[in-house]
Amino acid sequence: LKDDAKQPILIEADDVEVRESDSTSVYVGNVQVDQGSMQLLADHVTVYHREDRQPKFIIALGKPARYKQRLDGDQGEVHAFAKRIEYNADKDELVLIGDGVLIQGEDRLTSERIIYDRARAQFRAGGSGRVKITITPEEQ
Amino acid sequence: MSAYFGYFDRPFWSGRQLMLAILFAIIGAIAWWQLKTPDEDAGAHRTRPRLPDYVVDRFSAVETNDSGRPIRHLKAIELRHYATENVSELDQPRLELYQIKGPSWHAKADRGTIYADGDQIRLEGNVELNRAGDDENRPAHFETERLDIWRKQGLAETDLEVRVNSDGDVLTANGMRLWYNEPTRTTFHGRARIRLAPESDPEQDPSP
Repeated sequence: LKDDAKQPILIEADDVEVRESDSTSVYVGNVQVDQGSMQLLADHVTVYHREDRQPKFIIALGKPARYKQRLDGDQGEVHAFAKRIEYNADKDELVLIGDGVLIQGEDRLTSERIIYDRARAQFRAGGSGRVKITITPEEQ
Repeated sequence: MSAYFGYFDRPFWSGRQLMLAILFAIIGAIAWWQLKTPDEDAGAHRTRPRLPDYVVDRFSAVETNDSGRPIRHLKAIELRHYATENVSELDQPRLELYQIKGPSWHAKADRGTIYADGDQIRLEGNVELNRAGDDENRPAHFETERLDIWRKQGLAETDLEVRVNSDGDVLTANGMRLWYNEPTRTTFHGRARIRLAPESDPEQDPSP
């Protein structure tokens, strides 16, 4: 949702390390990140912070790492799964790397590498291996 | 009976022997008394109050490193030193941990104990650790019930609940290790929970 970015970011983890030297924080063990309707679940998350401590770049690792977020209007939710999920705040872009799966509404995409533009709810897929898209036609 | 009586008729002990016998009897009695009374002394020792060998009122001490640069300043309403235990107890301790550049850390608590000639300072009761912000780092405010400051490692650690507030961002955890010398590094343990406030946050906690 558009308003998600205005919500506080809530992070939980078994262990956390905060390093001022490179403005990073590392979260290990049952990591859960929530911001409004967005939720990220992973085993290990590294956050690179801006000066105002807002996240600039996030790397989530899991078996798989899981991401979900509600879309504006009545488009339902987007779900993403991958061994590695990267989030670039400046581009507002999610990159799924390794067994990537993206599910939006009834449509499903699998590929080794998927780039998802959150602002426009659009995706690009590629990288090694085959891309498989399943688009479910709307009922007449 | 008569044998028995005869037994006493002969001058059995000469004067000198009698004196020796009496002397040994007295020594024996003293020894027996000594053996018995220590129990009472030990009893007295156990109940003897734990007294400091010296007390300092309004204690203040600045510690420097090998090159003479101040590294920390410890103050307390009162310091009590216990020689037998080699510890010093502090009332209302205030500890400033200087940084090479950047603002100092300021710790305070209800009570404190200095161990191992200062290698470890334990702060207890309403412990707070604060650092002002500067152009490189945000202000930080820690709260816990116990904090151990280790001089050599430049480490402040607790295994109790800790709460951190920094510019409206809040973290709670059940253990912390803070390497406080620049650039700081902190690890939190035991289900840590963080709230990063959005840029414009109505709920922003007022600065400490």
